[in-house]
Amino acid sequence: MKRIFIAIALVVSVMNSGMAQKIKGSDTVLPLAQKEAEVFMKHNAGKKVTVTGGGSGVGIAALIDKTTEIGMSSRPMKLSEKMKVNESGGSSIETIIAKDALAVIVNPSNKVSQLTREQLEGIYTSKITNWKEVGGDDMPIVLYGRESSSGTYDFFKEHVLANKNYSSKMLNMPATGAIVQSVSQTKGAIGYVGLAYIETTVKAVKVSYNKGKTFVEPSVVTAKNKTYPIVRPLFFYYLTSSSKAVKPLVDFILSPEGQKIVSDEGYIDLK
Amino acid sequence: MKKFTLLQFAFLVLLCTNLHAQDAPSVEDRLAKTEGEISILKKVKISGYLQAQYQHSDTVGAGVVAGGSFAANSNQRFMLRRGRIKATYDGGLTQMVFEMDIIEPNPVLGTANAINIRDFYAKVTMPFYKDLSLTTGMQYRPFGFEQQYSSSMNEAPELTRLVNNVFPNERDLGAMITLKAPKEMELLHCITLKAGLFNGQGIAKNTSGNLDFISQLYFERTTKNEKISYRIGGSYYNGLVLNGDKSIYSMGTNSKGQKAFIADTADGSSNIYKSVTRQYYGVDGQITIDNPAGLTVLRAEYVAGTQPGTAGSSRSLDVDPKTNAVGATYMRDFSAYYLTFAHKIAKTPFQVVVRYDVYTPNTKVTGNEIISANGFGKGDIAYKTLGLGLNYFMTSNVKFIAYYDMVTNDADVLIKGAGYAQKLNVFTLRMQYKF
Repeated sequence: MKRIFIAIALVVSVMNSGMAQKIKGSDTVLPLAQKEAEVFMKHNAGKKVTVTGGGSGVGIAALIDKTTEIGMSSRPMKLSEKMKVNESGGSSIETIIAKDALAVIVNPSNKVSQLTREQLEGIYTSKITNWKEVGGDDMPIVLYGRESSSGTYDFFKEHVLANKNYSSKMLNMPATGAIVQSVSQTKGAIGYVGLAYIETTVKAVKVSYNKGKTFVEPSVVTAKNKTYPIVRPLFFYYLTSSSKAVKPLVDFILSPEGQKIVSDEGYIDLK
Repeated sequence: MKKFTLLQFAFLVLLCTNLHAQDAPSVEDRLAKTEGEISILKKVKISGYLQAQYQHSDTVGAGVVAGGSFAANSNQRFMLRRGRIKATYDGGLTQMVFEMDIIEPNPVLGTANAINIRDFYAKVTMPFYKDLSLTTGMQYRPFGFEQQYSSSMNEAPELTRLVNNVFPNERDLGAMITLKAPKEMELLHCITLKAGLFNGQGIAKNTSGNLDFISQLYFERTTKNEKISYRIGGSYYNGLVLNGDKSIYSMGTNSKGQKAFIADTADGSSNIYKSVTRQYYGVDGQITIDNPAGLTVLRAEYVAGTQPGTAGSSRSLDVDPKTNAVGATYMRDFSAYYLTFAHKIAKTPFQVVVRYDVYTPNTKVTGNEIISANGFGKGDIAYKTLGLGLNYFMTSNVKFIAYYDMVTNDADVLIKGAGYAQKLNVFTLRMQYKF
């Protein structure tokens, strides 16, 4: 009798894991999605949500392959990706769930505390290779960035580098946490991460988009009042065929309670 | 006594369980092994599709392009139009593709129930320059757009008359290089050059003893706002075809001053197995627009050139004239174009399709000039086809196509009696399953 109960419990647990809603994609959105999922599941006993990272590109590819219900992304879906969805007869729905300020971080021992967009472009295209060229110590610049599957990689390239190609010397890291760790451990390092990932082990620099007239530090306040220039929306993408199934979770994230979680986690809410 | 025996037994069970637990691999070991096995499996991709359809023609025994001619006493049919299985092995810088085609027996076309190879090629990307690759084997010809577009993704059920006549079987056997500028040269990186040498006989063996040169150059880009994607390109084909007869016919004027095919028999038997020119020029353009009403696709292609055919057909020759009596070669200057409009309606699973396809196999003759006495026939008749369709994507695997082809040809009253002026309108209702 005991064996029968155990067998039934096993079958039920396997079935439940198969029916879990899957969210996959952006490393930037990952901490937020995990927290939202955790609270959602507390309010909705019996509903299971699993959240995994991998990058915005990976999430959208999983959405196209239908191995995830929601693809989370820190960049808009590309037309080529929409065409792939279209080729299988589907349509994707885009929902902005929060915003995020993209911060440029350096090692805390680095005396450089502000950079213009032009300087950032020069650094990440290796036209500027030493910190002394931007007012710092005589120290080579070590570049850290994300991999090409990352929405943050695309966003930084488009908005900060004005679509110039990254230097081949940039070290491509698979996850945001790896950038934070590397920059905290390397004196000459520079990287870019979402605001929510900033820790005391790294220093966020102020950025100027008006050729040095004013420099603004990244924060929720400066992102909300639009003085900080590098702010981007964060997306959930899902197919119209899944919209009914994912609606409760999406509605929860957009609700006042869900948006409070956005602020609490260091992101910018949509209010 | 009983109690002691039970205790001993329990101890033995516990001991055996503990020993077994020590032998079992750790979760990390099992995970690493599984990940390794999955990474191998992920390199192999199997896909395929099946197209089953119902067709109705306005004429019994209609000689149509869409799915081949109808049987002599029939104007409706069910048929298995295509069944394809494709296997791809992706080794990163190398790739191998194998695709086979299962076709229905068609006594009108003379095909038996057969399995044909469609794609069978290997592609190697140069490790020293990742924008340069070499593809060898049975593959798409690098010409134009439509014939490289998978039948499973095509909005219309069939390819245009251009491809069906000029590029039968859609594939050829050869070697091709693909080249792009480095990614750092942003605008130039949008340009792709493909060039190769091919047998020229489609999926048949090389019979001409010559290799055909095929190339294309196209520019492809997406706007920054990811709303519009466009491509524009040009293609060139230069090949030779064997003539199997003592005569080669070319366009000229007969003794009555009428346009006619004039036989070149001056060389006599030296015309037999003489190579004749097969040359095409093409331009193509595609644009995809993501708009509030849905996803809109516009495509256009124009091809012109010199096509060696036979008396009754402008179709590219793919049989050996040394072993098959195909008759004399008829040299025709041809032109063809098509315009396709396809629109996926908002977020619905419906897509409307309109295509206008014009095929002029002989640009030097038209209408009442097509007189059989002057050597003209079916191979010289121009066709204009307006197709209207509605696609329904029931699931990501299943698509239904309802499509009506309205065909007009320039057959004049002089050849109506020969049965050329058939009403060739065809309605096709197809279910496609793709995985």
